[in-house]
Amino acid sequence: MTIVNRRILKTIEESEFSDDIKTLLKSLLAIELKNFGDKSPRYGEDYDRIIKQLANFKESREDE
Amino acid sequence: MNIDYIYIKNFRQYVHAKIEFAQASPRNFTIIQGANGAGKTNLLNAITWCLFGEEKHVDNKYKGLPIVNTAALDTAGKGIIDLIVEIQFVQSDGKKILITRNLSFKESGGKLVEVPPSHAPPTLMRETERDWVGPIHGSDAEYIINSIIPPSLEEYFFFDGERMNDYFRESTGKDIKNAVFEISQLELFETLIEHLSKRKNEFVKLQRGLSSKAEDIRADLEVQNRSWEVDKEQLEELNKKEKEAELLEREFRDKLKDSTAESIKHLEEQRVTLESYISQVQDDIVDLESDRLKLLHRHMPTIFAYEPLLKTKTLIDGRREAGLIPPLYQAIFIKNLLKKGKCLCGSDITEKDEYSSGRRKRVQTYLEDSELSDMSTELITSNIHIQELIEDVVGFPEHVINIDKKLKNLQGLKEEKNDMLQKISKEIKQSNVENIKSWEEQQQKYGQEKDQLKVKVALKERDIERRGNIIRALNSELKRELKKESKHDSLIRLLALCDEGITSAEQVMTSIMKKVKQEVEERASKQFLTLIWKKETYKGLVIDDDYNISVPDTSGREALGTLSAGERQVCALSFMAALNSVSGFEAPIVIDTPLGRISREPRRNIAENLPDYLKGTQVTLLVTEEEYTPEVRKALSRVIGKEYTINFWEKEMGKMAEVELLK
Repeated sequence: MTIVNRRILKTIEESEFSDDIKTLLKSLLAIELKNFGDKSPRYGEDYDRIIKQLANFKESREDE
Repeated sequence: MNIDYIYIKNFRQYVHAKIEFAQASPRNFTIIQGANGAGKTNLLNAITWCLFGEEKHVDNKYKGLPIVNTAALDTAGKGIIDLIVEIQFVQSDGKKILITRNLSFKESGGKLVEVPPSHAPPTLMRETERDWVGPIHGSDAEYIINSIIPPSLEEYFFFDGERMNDYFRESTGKDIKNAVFEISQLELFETLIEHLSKRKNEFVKLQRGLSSKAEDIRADLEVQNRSWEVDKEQLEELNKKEKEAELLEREFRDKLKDSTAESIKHLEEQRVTLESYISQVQDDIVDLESDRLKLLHRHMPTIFAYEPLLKTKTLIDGRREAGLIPPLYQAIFIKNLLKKGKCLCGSDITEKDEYSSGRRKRVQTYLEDSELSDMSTELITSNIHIQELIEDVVGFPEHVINIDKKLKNLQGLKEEKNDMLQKISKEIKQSNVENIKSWEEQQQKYGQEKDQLKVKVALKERDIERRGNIIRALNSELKRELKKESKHDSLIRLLALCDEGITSAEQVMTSIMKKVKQEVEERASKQFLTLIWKKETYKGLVIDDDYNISVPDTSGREALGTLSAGERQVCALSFMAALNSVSGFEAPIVIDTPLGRISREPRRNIAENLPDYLKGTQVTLLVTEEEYTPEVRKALSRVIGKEYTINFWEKEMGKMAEVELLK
């Protein structure tokens, strides 16, 4: 079943963005799709979790 | 994804109806035939109500009437009756999804009440490898439905033929852009960027131990961000008001156009032609003004530097004429001779005798004369460029005068046509036909309101852009300040990730918009030329940079405003189906009254081409007897899998309809 328009996913996949950014965009899009139509969506916690996870992951990779 | 069946109970005129849809290609067309008012559009409404809880295609005559079948309610007496719409979808892997929405009603004290009062959320059952899963309720069910067809894209899958006729008349470039935006799901990116920016601000807001300068920047940022939010809300409100004013203006103009008074009708038609002419003149004015500006940009540096350039040229020419440029001998050559102690003739000049020292002095004079030799090549080349610039600028005044003359003519023409418009308006206002004067006043009032709002929108957009720049600058300043202390490293990393996310999302949006626009234009144009019967008349369908649609004729002239109702419908059908095909959603298409406005011969052409044009998509056509002629039926026969007719009758308490399978 289509979740996010395939064109969007394809554009992200084929872009020259880093893997972290590709993951960030795809994860945040999934949240947006879930909240679509919700007048006051609660996105804060989900966003923070993903951003912090990716930032930590990036930091630990850089430390290595 | 195809519709397997729809079951309807007590919805509008349907007491009980079950329709199974044709699926296997090539016989993937379902035809449902019914007279006007039999319930075709309400089948479309039953689908949208079940999926989205809203009747998206309700006729004005049904607005305000109860959604539940009143005849069934009458039969139920004081009992409760259920309204149910159930749609079963089949996915490409054969697994099914069943969506149900229902309401219960009873009559109480002469009033119709819902039992219990609710907004009728959908319920969903889903077939898996092993079994059915569900029921899934509320937002989880809505999430799955949105991934079949998002509600915002509904109109590109469930078309209303009658409304399609007005699509381009009612839609501005902005609406078309929104359609491309919606179909590409770019709204998701817009909210993503907004939310990511808000999280970024929140991270900054929660950071402790900032330096006093960083604190100041943070406070500034907060104020600017708040104002930015307010500005955006105000812009949304202004856009809404502008659209409302535009619709009202159009409503009164339509009234004038449809007026029974022939003279008024004629005047209104004249006005439309004049306005289209003025708009073309205005476009020419804008083009000429842009040409003039480009000309100024090109020649202005030469004009400002004209005197020094001329002086330089005179100096260089003078040196050339004096034989100093190019020099007789290159300085390096003379320097080498002096170093080696040789004369030009090769004799030795190192001796201290009179002959040698005389020759040496002579050679040294050549060196002084050749001092310009290093730059002489450059001077000669520059002189050629200076010459070109001076020659080029000579024609400038004449060019500008020509453009100004043309501009003056066009401005005059525009004023003349505007005067004619005012005269028409005055004439309409003087009409003694009832309501005409008031309609004209209203259309003028809303027209002026719309124009004023347009200016306000432009100003607000400029404010938002300006504030956006301030916020960006403050953010950069804050980052620089944070970098001074290592304790803020984690925050810097978070902000960098957010910034990169925002920039990347913007890049994806721009790239998709460009691609989708191009693809929609190509597909719609190709489809329009396939479906249209006057193949020699039109070049195709063009979407410009502002997303305005035009249909140029073979001579390149814009013909959208002169299309007949049928041609407009074909144009809209081509555009909507192009949007549908680029959407990436594999949902079925239902078209209500697809051929209503189209005359006999073109109908056959459309019926013959439609199956190829919607190849592989499950299609349902809701048609009247007048549309579904034997020729149309014959043309579609190769793709028809199921055929139904709607029988309907009226009882004292309301309408009743049933669906009968023919094939």
